[in-house]
Amino acid sequence: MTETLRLRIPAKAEYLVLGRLALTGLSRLRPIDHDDLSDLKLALTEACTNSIRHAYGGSSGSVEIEFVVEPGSITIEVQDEGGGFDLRDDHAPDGRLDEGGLGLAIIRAVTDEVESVRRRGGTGSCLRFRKRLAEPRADGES
Amino acid sequence: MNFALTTEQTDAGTAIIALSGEVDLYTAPELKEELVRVIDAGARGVVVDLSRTTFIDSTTLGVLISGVKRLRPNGGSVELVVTDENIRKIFEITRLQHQFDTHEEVTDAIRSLR
Repeated sequence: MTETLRLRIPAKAEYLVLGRLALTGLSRLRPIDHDDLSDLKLALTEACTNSIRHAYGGSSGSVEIEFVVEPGSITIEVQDEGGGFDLRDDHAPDGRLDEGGLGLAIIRAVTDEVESVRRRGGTGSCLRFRKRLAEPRADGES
Repeated sequence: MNFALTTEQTDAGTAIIALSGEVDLYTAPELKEELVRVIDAGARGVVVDLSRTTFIDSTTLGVLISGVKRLRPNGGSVELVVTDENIRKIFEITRLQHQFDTHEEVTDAIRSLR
């Protein structure tokens, strides 16, 4: 069965935690392996951080997050009304001491599919990523 | 777990910054401010203790990198204490594990500064 949850947060750093809390809540409804949950929280934080940093240039706005939970996977979309990620800028980390530009590489590393899609209903950007889920461990840790 | 930061100055040249909770775009500026403060105050060796940290992201990595960049030209270093496998994994994904020495215990990190 597919379940969909939508969350809209102000594009401000103090609200980033709400996305991670939503994932924790989802993991109570549909148990998620501890490492998968950790990967999803990291990918979601990177996507939302990019929207907060780059989409609105300091003016107010919001970030919409959609979680689609299916048997065996979760797909997350992060939408904003600004520039968002440019997948053409994607590059593999090279281990140098650069202070930025690691967000998308991290999302790619911890999820199975990443794509930039046209935002529903207008301008802005939408990053979608999907992660296949392992069966939660028998110890119930999630 | 709520974010918290504490600093211990073991001697004039060494500071231990311990972080608990989640470090992200909202909380990382506190770490950056503290790193700058202890370095400006004369610390040449900084231990960042992540053993009670439950989450870090690329913003956190950026702050740690900025600390390394400030210290390294003067012979200083940032040593990390990492016990969580998911935090260790972020350094591996970004291939930054070779830029930081990581330790299981604060005492080991301090020892490596000397």
